[in-house]
Amino acid sequence: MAHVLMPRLGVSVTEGTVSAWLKQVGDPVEVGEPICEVATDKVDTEIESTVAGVLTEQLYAVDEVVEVGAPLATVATADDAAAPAAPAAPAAPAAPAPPAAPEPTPSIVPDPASYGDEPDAAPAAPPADAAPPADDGRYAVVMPRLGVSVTEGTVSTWLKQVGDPVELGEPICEVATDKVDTEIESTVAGVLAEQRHAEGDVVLVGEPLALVTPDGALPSASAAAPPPPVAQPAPTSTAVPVAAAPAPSAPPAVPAGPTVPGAPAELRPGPFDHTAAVERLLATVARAGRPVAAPSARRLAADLGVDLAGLTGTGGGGHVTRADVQRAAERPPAAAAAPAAPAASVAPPAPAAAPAAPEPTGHPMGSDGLPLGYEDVPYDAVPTSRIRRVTAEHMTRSRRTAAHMTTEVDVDLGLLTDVRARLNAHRATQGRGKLSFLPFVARATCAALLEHPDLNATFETERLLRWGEINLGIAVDTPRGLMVPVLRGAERMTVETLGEGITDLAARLRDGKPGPDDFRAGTFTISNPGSVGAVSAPAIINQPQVAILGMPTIQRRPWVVRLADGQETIAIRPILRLALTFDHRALDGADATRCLVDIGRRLETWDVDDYR
Amino acid sequence: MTTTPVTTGTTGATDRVIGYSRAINEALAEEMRRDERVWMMGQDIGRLGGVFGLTRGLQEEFGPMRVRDTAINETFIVGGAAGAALAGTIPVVELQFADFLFTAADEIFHKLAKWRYMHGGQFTLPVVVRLPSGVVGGAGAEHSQSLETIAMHVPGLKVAVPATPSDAKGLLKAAIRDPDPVLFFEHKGLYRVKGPVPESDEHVVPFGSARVARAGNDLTVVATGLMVDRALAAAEQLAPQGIDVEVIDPRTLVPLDIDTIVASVERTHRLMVVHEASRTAGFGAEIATQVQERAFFSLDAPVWRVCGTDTPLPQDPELEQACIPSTDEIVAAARALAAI
Repeated sequence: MAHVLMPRLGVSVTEGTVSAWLKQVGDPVEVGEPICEVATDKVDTEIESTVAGVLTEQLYAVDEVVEVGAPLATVATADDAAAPAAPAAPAAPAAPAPPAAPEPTPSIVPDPASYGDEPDAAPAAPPADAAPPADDGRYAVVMPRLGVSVTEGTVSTWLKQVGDPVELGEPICEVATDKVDTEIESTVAGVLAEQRHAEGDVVLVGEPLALVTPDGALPSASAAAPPPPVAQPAPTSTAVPVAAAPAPSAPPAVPAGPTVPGAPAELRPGPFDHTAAVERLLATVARAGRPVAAPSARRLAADLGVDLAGLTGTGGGGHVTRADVQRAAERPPAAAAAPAAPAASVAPPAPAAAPAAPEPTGHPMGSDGLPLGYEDVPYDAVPTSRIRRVTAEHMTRSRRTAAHMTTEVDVDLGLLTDVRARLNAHRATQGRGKLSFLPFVARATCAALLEHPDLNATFETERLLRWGEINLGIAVDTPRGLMVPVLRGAERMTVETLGEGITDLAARLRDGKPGPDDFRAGTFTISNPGSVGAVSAPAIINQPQVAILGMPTIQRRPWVVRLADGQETIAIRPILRLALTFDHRALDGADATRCLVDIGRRLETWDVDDYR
Repeated sequence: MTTTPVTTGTTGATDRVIGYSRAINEALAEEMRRDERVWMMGQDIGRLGGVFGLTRGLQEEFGPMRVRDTAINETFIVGGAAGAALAGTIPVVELQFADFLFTAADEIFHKLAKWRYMHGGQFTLPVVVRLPSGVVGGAGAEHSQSLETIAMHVPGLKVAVPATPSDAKGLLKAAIRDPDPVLFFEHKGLYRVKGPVPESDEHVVPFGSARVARAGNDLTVVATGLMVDRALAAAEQLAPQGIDVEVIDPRTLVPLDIDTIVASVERTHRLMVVHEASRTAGFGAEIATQVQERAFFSLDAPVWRVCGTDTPLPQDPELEQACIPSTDEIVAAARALAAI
């Protein structure tokens, strides 16, 4: 037992009114055969059965309103009755139903007929919704539905005559409807056995137009009467090439393709094969004949001074990725091409094998891209500069790499204050600028480093590289961010040349015109947070160095001093708390502290003629 | 500039969950109550309430003068709106299918788009053209297209492509308040989708502000309309595979919030654009070009597109789905792109 449901007849149609029953209880019905007429506010239409069998119940009377999706009628199918009532009509028992089930599920798919805005010419023909009458079964070429609202057509010209061989898809006649004039293509291969209608005849959709049999002979009445149970209704679409046409009982092999009209406009039906497209792209890497790198890797290579030509790419197809560049940049300077980092504010990278991936935010993120729990806090999102990002990367890498340890000493600058005042007074007479304390600290540092060469070095686990000159980095706070220009050969400089060199470098930085050598090959760094008021100055080591000297502000503090008579008293003295941060992997605290004490001693005992 | 985070996707105290259709209906009603210059015109929008039912109840409230049924005549509907806009009113017109904008092409691409400029700015044309768009399951090649790129290509028009009920309402209100003509592409496949919508007459979503529908770090996916949910579903499948996808819905294509897209690509280094419209010369091509012009050196991989096929859409609902991007296709493309 099966139901024929009220179909949705248009986007806005929710119900219809039964206007006439075309099949009565007890009538055999086939799939696609109209069982009743229904009127809606849009269209009047016949409702076709979606099941084959015998109508057993009309669930609505004429003039009753039926909702979309509701059962209209009940049909007893072959499965229901072991012995179905013998049909009285000459029509044969139903052929197996085509699978086409008119949308039983409610959908907002509009029926084009209800758009009202469109001529109905568009779709060539919906799939078979009218089975051919059974009598001619497999041999019939039926009148297809040539448009949603087209119910009949007029045979205008026969293109094939009785006895002509006919191939699948070959036009057999021309038909005119009120919408279109078109050729009807054969759905059966063989020989035309009969033209069922003369030119000028009106033929209803679904009616046989012609019979095409294997040998051109008309099927005998006895043969035609019980259609073989395997017979399938011929497809009625004219648009679909016949590749999928049903093969009748024993037809000749389907001849080569049907006539194909001229090539259509350039169409690219899917699916798009993304994997194949990516593979084609990656295959170009090997053919390029030059280093192939992602755009982002090219930029990173330029930033880090890495030569792409020397790199082996690990990306798809062997292209160079950002990670490859990063690894190359982190190789020990001896191994990597040494002249590095022209523009980076930080010194050449460390010998550590740090992960290449850029640091993630480091905190749990909410779904809207903010730190978890901060969703309702107003904020400004300020894009970071490249220098900020390079600095961030360098600082975390240094922290991960080196075992940071800081040692501090207090240095009484009382004596040096006088020396500096006298020196500056002398310089003033020559029209030269004042020296700050920084060049004095730098000078004392260079002197001490010559005595403690393990702090002017690069640590590589297997070996310590003691550099043969002191290239002194000076951390400078600029409007663009922290920069560390390098004074090459600082151990050969006097206080005054150091002072002028620092002034020069800082000016070049602030003007934005540093030279390519201004940042590279530092061996030791001095950071001067005292210039902005810090009272202590631990720092992060500037890789690949092993130590950095922090210089806080000079504070006037009560200090115990020894008088000439050996007595002690408290005096107000300018005190500098120098901080030396060192890599405890490379040297021990005692070594570092001895160096720092040496620096302090040199500053405290500075005489006017020293270190000129 | 202070940015306040977009909270779409979560239901706040003042949000209700309503459908995309309902959200559009509310926007129309609220704007007509707010400003008596606003009125509507279209085939079957009055007594029937619209072919998709979006204008139900509006003729009852505002009367047949402000909610006018028209003949089957897109030329008249849009041309009449242009004239009425010149006369000082704010017409909101509906074409039953976005595809019919071709029928009204001269009125849309010439009168609406150009007259403000041809006449030296003596007037504006505050017309909203509502355009039910996209595939919906078997409507066929002439009733299923995604034509937003064509609208993008003609200067003078603004183009909205809402993907959520909240954006449908907020963008439509913004469109009605906009002095310029807006082509408002509602996706038919989203009409029955529900989502949170703020309870406020002033829920107006500004044009040119993209929504980050999902934050991620490995791949930026730009999608609109029906494709937003598919991109989000793909992102959920990709997350356990270690591909953290950021999904950006531009919400309007003119103006286009390219800054948000570029900023995202600068973080993720990879971009994929997903659109339902045909692949060739779709808005994906435009976004890809703008991004490479601005962020070429951020890219780890080529900008990728996942798009509808270059075919007239078939009427069979299953074949039709095969012609537009599926979640599976987005996943496959993202995996291929991430592996480059």
